[in-house]
Amino acid sequence: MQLTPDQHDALTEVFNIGVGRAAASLSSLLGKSIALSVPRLRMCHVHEFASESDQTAISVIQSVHGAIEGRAVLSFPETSGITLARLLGATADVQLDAGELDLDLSCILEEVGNIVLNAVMGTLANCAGGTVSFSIPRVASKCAITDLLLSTRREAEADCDVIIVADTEFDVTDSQIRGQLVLAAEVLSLEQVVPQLPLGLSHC
Amino acid sequence: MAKVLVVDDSRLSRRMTVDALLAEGHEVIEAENGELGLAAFREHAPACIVTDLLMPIMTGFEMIAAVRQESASVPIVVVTADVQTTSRQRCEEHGEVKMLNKPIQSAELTQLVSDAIGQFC
Repeated sequence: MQLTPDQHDALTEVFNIGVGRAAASLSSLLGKSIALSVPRLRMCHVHEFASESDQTAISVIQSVHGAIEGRAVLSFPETSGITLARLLGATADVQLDAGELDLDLSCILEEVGNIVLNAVMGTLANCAGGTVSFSIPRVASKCAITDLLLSTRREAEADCDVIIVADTEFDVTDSQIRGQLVLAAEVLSLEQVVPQLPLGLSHC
Repeated sequence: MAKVLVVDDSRLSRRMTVDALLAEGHEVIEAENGELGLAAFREHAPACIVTDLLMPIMTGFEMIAAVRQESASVPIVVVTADVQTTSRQRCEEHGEVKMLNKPIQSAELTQLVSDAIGQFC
């Protein structure tokens, strides 16, 4: 599949709208402003996708199925994740050297991820005029985004090597919180959806 | 004030919802998935149910359908991260449902619950 310039623009705009909605939700949750980077959209082979995120990130991953097949990841450097969880009421000291994250921190970040990722993927589904279902979000620590995306691919998708990746970075103003939001969608699932996007922007 | 059942697998969202309702003087019962929510509905006969949609074991969609088999009138408020219009439509297949997207604004939630209970009683 090759995206025409108009389709690339439409998909980028839909992602923009979704990220904007996600940022509004995160801002409301934290009571702080969110600064976003310009979203990047690219098509690549799944094994070529390289994220700038480090191996010590705390990530929330959620799969989406239906009109769009893919996964979305919300990732924080470990200190950002802890700061964010504490802003939202986590009280326990977190021992990140331990094998598992503190349960309180995990639960809080799962829900943050749920809210943010649903905002992006739900917006995409609305714009595409389709319906998607979501997996329950899962927190993973000390795992690069690339490995996380690859490890959660379903066997049926393993032959689909090309993905469309959209990602953006964000900073919570007046806080030491920053992160990255990555959406990876199987190209085959987008072939039906992408042509509808320019028409569906009013339904976002 | 009234007895309100809150069903959500997220401790964070459940806490936010419960805190808002307690501040309004409501009695609150909690459940962490649809199956426990259905059991709590049968045991406590709440005046209103506030529920999430995406939950393990039994989803909010499934719980709403089961509740509506037993009560056509108990008010249901859905609080969800799911922004899809099709999800709203799916909820409304089982009768009138009020819907809020997460994160909730306490004042908006409590007003919605109060209005719903007022119409029910």
